[in-house]
Amino acid sequence: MPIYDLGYRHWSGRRTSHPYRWWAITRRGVGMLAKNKRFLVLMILSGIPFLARSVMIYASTLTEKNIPMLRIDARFFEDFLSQQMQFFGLFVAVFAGAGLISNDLRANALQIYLSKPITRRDYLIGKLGILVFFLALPTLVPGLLLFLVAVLFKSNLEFLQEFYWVPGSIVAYSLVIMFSFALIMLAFSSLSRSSRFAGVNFIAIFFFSKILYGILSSILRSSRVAWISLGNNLTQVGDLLFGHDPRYLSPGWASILALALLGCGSVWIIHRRIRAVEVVS
Amino acid sequence: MVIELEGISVRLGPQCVLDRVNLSFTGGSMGLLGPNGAGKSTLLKTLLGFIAPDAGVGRVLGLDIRTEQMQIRSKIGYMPENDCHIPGMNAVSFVAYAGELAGMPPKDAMQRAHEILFYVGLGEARYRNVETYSTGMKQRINLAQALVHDPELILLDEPTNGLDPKGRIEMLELVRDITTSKNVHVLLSSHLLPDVEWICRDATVIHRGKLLASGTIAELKKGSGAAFECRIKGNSEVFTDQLKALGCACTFRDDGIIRVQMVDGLGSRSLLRAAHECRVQIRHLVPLKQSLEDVFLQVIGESDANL
Repeated sequence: MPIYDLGYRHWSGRRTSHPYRWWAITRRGVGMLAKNKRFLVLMILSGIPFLARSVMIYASTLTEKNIPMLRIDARFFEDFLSQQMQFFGLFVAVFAGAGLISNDLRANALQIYLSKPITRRDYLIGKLGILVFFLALPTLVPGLLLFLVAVLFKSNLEFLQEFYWVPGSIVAYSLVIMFSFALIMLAFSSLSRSSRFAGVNFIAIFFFSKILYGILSSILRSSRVAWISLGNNLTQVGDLLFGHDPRYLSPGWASILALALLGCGSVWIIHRRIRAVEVVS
Repeated sequence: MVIELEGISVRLGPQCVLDRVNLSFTGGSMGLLGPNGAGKSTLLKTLLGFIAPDAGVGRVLGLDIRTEQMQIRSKIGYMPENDCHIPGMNAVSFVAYAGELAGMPPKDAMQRAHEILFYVGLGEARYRNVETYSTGMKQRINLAQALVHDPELILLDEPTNGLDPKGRIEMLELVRDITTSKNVHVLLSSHLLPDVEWICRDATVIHRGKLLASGTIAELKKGSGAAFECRIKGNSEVFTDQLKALGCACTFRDDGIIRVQMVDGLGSRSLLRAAHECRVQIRHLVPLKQSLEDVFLQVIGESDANL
């Protein structure tokens, strides 16, 4: 018998059920990114604001004075997410997400994915899972840990009684940031075979919309056009979720609608772009 | 029945890429023959569910190609025509990942990836990044990812594309071993007739989206009529006109030999009678063994003539 005959045997194992096939994509994607040293450095850097805020919580327990910067309330946690972690989330989304679909397009990998018992929806959920996982690390996870740190350092029930609802807001706001960034990044990634192009475009849209808002608001002398900026919309929704007055004059529903439209538009683009066969009409 | 298609039509934009294709594949190995752009790849992609047919019904391994695509894909393997890989992975990770996508548990997928890579001859290179592979190695790894989940049927789209002669022979040997020793059905799409003749028992000829001929290769060769090589003395044009009037195809070679493809039911006696009637002498007459290429050219030629 030639030696290569030993290399092929029939397999009679049990297959995983179809609803969990996307998990294979997420698991493998997370594993591959976790081996990237530059990405690990970025993730470690994203822990710095958490450490700084933890120190602030500790410092607030040492003084009886009412220093505004050391006031530990719902605004403290919202600012942590919207001012600091949103920034890191942006770069994590670019680093982890720019190549997720564009690299597959470049290498014709979609034919391999879709020739397996994987639907386009499984593929999208699998890729989304990778980004959501890595976006949770600089948003959801440190947000909840920071609240835990506050509870531990305050060590009284008054804080917990007053802000028991804050973890819910942290979860909701983190999910809004995670899914907004993840879906938009994946849409850009699906539009090009170049991950660099996708990443640059995502960052450009984020900052360009901010600049556009700056120009329009100075012309109109009003912040009613805040919905035009992705970052402002996230901040506005954060204000709503943490029970604060919106910081821009544009209505809160306009920001929710803008984010919902961006999310739906992204899903539509991705769904159209994920095809095993490129039909040239 | 492994594949059963009835009246499958596919339109891509204004173009009819498959036109009422009927196909039966009982098992073993079948070659899908046709010139470039004939519709072979489209047919494979229709079987996989990548393209929805506009008309007709089809079953693969007893499963409906319109409604049971997921079940079909879990039972078949597909080796695409062009260079396909998942970036950033070494060969063993890539093949194991393909197994996981097909529903294999990660441990089983990894174990089987090693086995399959040895089987396709990439055992020593299995820890190399796929992007650094040569064309031949990429073809092999594409075959490996198609086989990892132990499919009942594999669809091979031009598996010897871009391979050097040695690599081509090794790939063909591998495919032949899969179908003969491993009991995996093979549908091989190729425009290289020797490849199909080497591996397959059955063949189907597609041209301009239409199925022109189908059956075992032996039957196709038999059904295409006898062929002869002859050298004559006399007016060759009158002689070939006489033969063409009988429906035979004649081609002149540079060395003066005429190649005559007879129609069904006619043999050497008819050829001799034609020579007698045209008053030419036959100086050399050799019956030719029909190759698949002869059948292919004849079928395609008839199809083009009918347009």
